[in-house]
Amino acid sequence: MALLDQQLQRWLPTGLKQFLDRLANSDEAAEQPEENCADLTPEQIEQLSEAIQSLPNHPVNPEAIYSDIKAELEQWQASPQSSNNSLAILSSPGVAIANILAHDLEPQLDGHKPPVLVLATADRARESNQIESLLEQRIQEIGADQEQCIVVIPDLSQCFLRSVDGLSSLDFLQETLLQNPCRFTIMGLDPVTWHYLGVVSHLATYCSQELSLPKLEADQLQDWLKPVIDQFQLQFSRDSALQKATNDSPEDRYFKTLAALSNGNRIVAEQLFLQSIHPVDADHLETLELGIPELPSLPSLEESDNYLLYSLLLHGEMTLSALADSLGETLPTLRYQAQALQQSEVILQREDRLSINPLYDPKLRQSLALNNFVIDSRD
Amino acid sequence: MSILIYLLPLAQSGSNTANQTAAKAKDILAQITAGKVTRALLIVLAAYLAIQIFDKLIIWLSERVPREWRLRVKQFLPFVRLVVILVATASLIDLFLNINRENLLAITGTAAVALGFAFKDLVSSVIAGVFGLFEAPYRIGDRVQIGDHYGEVIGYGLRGIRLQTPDDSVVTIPHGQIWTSAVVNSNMGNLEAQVVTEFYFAHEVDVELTKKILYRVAYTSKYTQLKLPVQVIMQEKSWGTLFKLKCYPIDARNEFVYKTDLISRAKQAFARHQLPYPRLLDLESRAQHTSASN
Repeated sequence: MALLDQQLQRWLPTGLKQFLDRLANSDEAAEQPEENCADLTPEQIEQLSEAIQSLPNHPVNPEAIYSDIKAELEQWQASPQSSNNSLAILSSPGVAIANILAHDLEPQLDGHKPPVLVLATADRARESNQIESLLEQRIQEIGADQEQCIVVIPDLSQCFLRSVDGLSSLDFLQETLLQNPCRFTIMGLDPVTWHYLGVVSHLATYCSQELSLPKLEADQLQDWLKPVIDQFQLQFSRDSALQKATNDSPEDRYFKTLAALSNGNRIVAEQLFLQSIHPVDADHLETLELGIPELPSLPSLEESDNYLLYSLLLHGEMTLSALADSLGETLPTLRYQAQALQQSEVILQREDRLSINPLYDPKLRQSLALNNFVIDSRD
Repeated sequence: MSILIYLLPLAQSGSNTANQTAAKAKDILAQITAGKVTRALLIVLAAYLAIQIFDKLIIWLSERVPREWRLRVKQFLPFVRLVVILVATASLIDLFLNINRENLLAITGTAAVALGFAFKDLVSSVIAGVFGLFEAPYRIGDRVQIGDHYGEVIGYGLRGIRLQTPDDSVVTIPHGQIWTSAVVNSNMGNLEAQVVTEFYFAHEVDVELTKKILYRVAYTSKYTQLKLPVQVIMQEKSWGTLFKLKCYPIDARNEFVYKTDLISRAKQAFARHQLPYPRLLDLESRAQHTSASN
């Protein structure tokens, strides 16, 4: 009974709404994720994107994370043989922590002895049986075969592939880094990937410490996006109905909604922010306004779509051939399926790599959790 | 003459009994009018339409809710059907019969005798079906084996269940079977049902490597339910070594697709590592050698 109650509580807020949305207009449930942004000119979209990319990787300096990392390092250095020598830092989507670990952590530990070595994890090997050798090469390139060092793996999901050969690289990482007390390993990954690895490998056994990237509050998002708002002189929408409902100013209301919908995640918040920008009216295209941010509804997904999307959640970005390997499908079949999902903008393609559209990320996780995939809907 | 004297009271008492019976029957049966017949037909039609509508509605709803709720929604179907049938039957009884305590006893007594003989098997199945609703040897969405028939329970009727077999045939099995036959249920209302896949190797196969590959094959299949355990067990046979991979798909409906996925990816891995399969020629030569020495 308690289990039934728990499942009902998980399903009711989103499952019922999704179901009713589907009943209401099943073919039109997929709103275009950036329909307001589509009203902007291409130049405006490019300028806005550049402005956001120039912002710091994380809205606030994640001091809590850095101090926890330093505490773990001190404990390890004091007694390398008996202390925990690895740390997993989780964020959903995983790219949020990957950016921080790739660029921001090293300066924080600047001057630290032993040396901090960042492993390049921007892309995976083309073939699953080459992942291990590529990792070995990269570890040697950064000099991680030294006596004592701190190895940072910004995105662990790029270091393996869900295939029979693709998991061998995890064995290699385990033997080379985690089982070696002279090396301290810091790994960034998505909670979905962490849960998966906990089942299929012994990684979680060796890495008993895990931290989560703190979720962003409304005021933190407000401070982070202020430079862009000032640069483009963005105004906040003044909806009179909402004004009466709450005592908050339009600005406060906007950022509270943004924080709630993005679940405190910077990547999702960034896309929601972009999506909510639109010209005040057709006659004043230069004057931009921030409407109420809204997460688009998921389109109707087939069972095969769920398997594909779960694989993308697991691995972050991946090529079509890696996806085919992970799913055990042929490329032509998968190409057609991926094309359909790209058209509904659930997945995006950057060069030859596919990834989940951040705007659909929160609802997709909940949907997959309700469809019996190994996802905690709170992730 | 004396015979007539004895027969006359008998005849009279027989006549009295017949009159009493007729009067009793009249008392039980309400007056049958054209209006009542029309209403009865409308009740039957309404019940039939209600069952059809609920059937379609519940099955449609079950395919649209999240997978976790699919089977639970479907399992409402036999209960809803039972309620509709009971309401319709009660309405018809009320329409045509004057129900009071005495009449009810008379009717049920008569009905019991008649039904007991004429519809013995049907009644047995109906009663078994009602028992089955609460005891639940099978429910809608379950994958069951009853006798020689295996499949998914797609319908739960008054008299029996409908099974959809792997080759897309529909088999109707009377509920009465549960009194005497074993019912093997693979998932008991759950979405997952264990799939056992067998692999055959020669005696000299590298056991640890084979087990590692099989575990990897299960863990990397997109269909595998990772919340449930994966197990590899071995048996030694005269012809070689049998490995059984036991794991669960996310959805029991994908049982055969899942098995195909496991086998195809496992065979690719076996080929890369050149794992030896059992050799039939060895068996034949061994058999010849045994018969020659005899």
